[in-house]
Amino acid sequence: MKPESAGATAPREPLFAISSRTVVFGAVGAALYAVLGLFSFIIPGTQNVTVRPAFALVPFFGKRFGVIAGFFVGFVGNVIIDLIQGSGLTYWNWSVANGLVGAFAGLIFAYVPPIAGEALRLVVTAVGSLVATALGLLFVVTDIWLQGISFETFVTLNYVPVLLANAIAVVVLTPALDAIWEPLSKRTGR
Amino acid sequence: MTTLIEVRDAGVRYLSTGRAALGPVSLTVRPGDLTLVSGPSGCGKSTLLRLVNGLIPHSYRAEVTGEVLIGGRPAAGQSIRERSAVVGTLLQDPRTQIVGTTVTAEIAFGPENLGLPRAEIRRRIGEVADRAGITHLLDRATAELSGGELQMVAFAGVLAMRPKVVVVDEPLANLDPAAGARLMGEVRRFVREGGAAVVVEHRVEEILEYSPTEVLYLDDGAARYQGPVDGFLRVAPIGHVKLPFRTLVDRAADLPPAPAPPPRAEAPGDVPRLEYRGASLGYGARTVLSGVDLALGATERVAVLGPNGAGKSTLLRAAVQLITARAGEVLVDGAPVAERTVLSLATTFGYVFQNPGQALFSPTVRQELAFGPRNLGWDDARIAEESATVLKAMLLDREKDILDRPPRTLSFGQQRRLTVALALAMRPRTLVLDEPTAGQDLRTTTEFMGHALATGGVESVYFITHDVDLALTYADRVVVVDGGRVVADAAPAALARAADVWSGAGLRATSLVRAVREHLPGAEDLPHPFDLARGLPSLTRSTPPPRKEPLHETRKRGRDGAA
Amino acid sequence: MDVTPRYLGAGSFLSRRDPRVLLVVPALYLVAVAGIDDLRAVLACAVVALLYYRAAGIPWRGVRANWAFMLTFSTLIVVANSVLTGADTRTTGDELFTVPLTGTVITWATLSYAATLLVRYVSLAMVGFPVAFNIAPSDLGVAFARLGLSQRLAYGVDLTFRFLPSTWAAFRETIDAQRVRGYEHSHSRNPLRRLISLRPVVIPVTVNALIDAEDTTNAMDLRGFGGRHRTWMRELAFDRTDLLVLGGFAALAAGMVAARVLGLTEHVWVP
Ligand SMILES: Nc1ncnc2c1ncn2[C@@H]1O[C@H](COP(=O)(O)OP(=O)(O)OP(=O)(O)O)[C@@H](O)[C@H]1O
Ligand SMILES: Nc1ncnc2c1ncn2[C@@H]1O[C@H](COP(=O)(O)OP(=O)(O)OP(=O)(O)O)[C@@H](O)[C@H]1O
Ligand SMILES: [Mg+2]
Ligand SMILES: [Mg+2]
Repeated sequence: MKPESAGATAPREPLFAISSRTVVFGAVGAALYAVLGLFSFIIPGTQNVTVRPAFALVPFFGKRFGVIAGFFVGFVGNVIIDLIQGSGLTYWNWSVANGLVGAFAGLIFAYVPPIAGEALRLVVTAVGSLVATALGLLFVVTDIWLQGISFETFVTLNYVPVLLANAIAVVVLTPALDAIWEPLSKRTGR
Repeated sequence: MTTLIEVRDAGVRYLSTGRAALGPVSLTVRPGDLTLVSGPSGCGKSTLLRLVNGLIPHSYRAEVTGEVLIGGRPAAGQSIRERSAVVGTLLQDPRTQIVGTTVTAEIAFGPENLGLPRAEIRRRIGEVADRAGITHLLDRATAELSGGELQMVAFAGVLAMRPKVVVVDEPLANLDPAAGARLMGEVRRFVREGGAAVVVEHRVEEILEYSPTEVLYLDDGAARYQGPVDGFLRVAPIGHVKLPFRTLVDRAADLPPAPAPPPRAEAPGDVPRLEYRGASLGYGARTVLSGVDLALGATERVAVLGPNGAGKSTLLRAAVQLITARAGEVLVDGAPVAERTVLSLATTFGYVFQNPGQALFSPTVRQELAFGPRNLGWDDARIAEESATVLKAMLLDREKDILDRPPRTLSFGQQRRLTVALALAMRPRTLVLDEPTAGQDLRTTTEFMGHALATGGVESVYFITHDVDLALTYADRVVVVDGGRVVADAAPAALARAADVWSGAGLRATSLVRAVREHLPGAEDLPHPFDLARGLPSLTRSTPPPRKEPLHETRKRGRDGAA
Repeated sequence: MDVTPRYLGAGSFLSRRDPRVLLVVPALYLVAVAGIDDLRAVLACAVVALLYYRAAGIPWRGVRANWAFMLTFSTLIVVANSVLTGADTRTTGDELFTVPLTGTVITWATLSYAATLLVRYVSLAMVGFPVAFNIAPSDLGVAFARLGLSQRLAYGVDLTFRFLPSTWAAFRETIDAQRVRGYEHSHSRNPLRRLISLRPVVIPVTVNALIDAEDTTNAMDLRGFGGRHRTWMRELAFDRTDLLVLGGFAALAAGMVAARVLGLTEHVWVP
């Protein structure tokens, strides 16, 4: 194992490196997403816009722990939620989409220089996470072939409502999480 | 004789903070050595272990000076993996270091990583499980194990890698005395059978039973004492280290005055603050405690003792309705707890959980302190005022501009005190503390308890602990929970004399307990250990048991060790 | 609620299979049924799926809730898909009735198509359930590793299942810890307020998990994790039956793909 590859104080690892850190944080994140993701609520007035607050974890882990960890959290986490709730692997492409959100967040923030200003960092975090969410969820377009639905249905019933719901969660929770973790990421362990 | 670990004038500076955390320190470990490392919180004990097992510099970015040899070879060139063949590490909290879903998987983890053949791995699993006496657990899920069992499994997982020396970081912090004894017994056995061990621990007295060959006392990163045990007992700073009662007697001369017992509130009435009537408590299908009849007074200081998983936390959680009695009833101030709202309970009991980090979520201490009171609907002026008061009460006001610090960046001890401050901020009349002093050094503990008990407005304190002496010293009533029942409920002095308690209930008689039995037959209440020690006639004094030839050896090494 | 994976189908035919079979079959089945619009074809596949599901021996009472969730959810999607937005229903055949609000014309084709979708979802769930209930959690990691996933990531899967129960416990503890500070979960209709009210729970649970994770990382490094070669205690090998099952589903997939290419299954079947 490469010296200094672990420890929150270490410089950012190569984008696609899989260190034991990547593995552990991926696993921790997936477990968190799976547990907290069991709770969701429907926005009153809409039939099918369910907000899953835990979704905010996916871009957060992508930003903080890299592309691989981000994908792992979104994908494995969502698969486990589906398994627990019972949709099995039917909507596997949605899991991939979740994973991609984490991966994109990892990519985007890998190229954003560290920001000192608190306020600005919050905004950038929110925006970056939003972009990652919008891009990642596009993968749900595969429903057109997998579930044999029309493009309109994809847009009106799958993509837009889900993007909307998750966007709310991401905007509210991801920057909050990131702000708390910022000072902690400087010190390793306890 | 080969040296397993050789540390020569080593120093460590963490790059993240730029602060020197250790050094210069020297340490030599040969087969058959059991080295005890102690010292106040933050003195560098864990850092020393990280230096030995390779986490420094491989996982923590730190600047290392001096020289470290592992298995006779310079450590600099050795990866963590290579070192793990010589040094096995048992981290402080078993919860965080278990990686397997089942016990078997956990023990197999190390050997699997070494790429050993399956047959060999199976053989090792059988061997270490047998050694650590956990064969009956092999198929259990690690999630279901008690703290003590987990610690044992983690140790077995380390042994399975066949290390030559094990380094153990605060093994007793979260264990009941019996479980701690089992673990240390295994460590001792490992040493006797040709291994070696370095044990970091605050609870010095417990470790002394296992006759360490050398003591290294660190303070602020540097070695204050290094050498044989009896020498250490002669010079160890009283009040900073938990010393055997015998030693207190021997050093009666330099005992500091005992801290004045905190003033107690006068009883408002004789209605018990918290009363259980034939209550039975549990989770899901499982009943943890049954037939509990107990009345805790409004001005009492009650300590709850008992083994891991006995139901101590469960018992007190019922007070704030985190679980509801499935039979019988729980009364608060004479009224069924069910009739109380969460908020009204929050102002009656200030409940502090086992793990301080659990509740901290705000970006600043100020907002954290405001959360509870705001739920009570107080205005900002009052909140600000209360915050200031409780910070002072818990000695946190000394920390400069603490109100704007992120709570989780405080030291572990400070976070603990902050959680108490959070509870106090809601002006509770009774403080409930779940293992408030686990893993903290004696001075911090004394300070902490002193202030927790003395805070104005708090009439009574109920606290859970594994530290028998803490219970005897600070409580005026001790409740022992075991096997789903309350097995003892008495004043400290009486409890100390109740022989049967100390055989079971995961408790073990400490030297203080034995002393009370010996010297205070029939006394009503217990004086502070210092006063007790001072009061004893000098003829009971003794010289520490001679431990001749290992002594010379260690003394010699102690010297050339500390170049 | 119980988040720890439940191992229900113990001793059944599928439980005796190599876990890799249970992971690969759903993939093959997916290929088979993807993009089929002909009800008869999907039903044919569904029969296979049903047999497969029966072989899993999952007790009904154990998964009643899961099926309920699955069915309601799928039905919702199907209705939304084919009935509310009629886009996909080639309007052949005579009109039965019109949906009041959306004004979609409902024909036999519409219904046939809806049925096709529903059957596809349900049969997919049938081949999916065994993954959840017939693979011992401790076998997942090695299964992925042997399917070619990176050794470390494969172990990450094991690790995730190790963290599930402790995360759940931490979650419960945190809610309790906040409740004694007077925290109550908001049921406001305003989603923003609801989300904000979750911060006292989500943040500490996450931060604690992350801080503990630093220790776990150290513990794994200290036990030599991350070497090139790693033994997996569990030994996996396909036996003849495994290969037969896999072969069967591979054939099914191939057949269906062929049929699709030949355009045999692209039309909505109208009786
Ligand atoms: N990863 C780190 N980065 C920066 N500083 C650290 C790090 N870990 C510890 N320190 C600092 O180094 C000093 C020694 O820490 P260490 O954990 O070794 O003390 P300790 O004796 O183990 O304390 P405790 O008894 O509380 O475990 C402390 O001042 C601590 O704040
Ligand atoms: N939320 C829960 N759900 C189910 N079982 C639980 C829960 N909390 C505790 N238990 C079980 O109840 C028993 C008593 O737990 P409790 O935490 O009260 O023990 P304790 O005496 O506090 O132990 P320790 O000294 O380790 O804190 C244990 O066996 C534990 O496994
Ligand atoms: Mg330490
Ligand atoms: Mg407890």
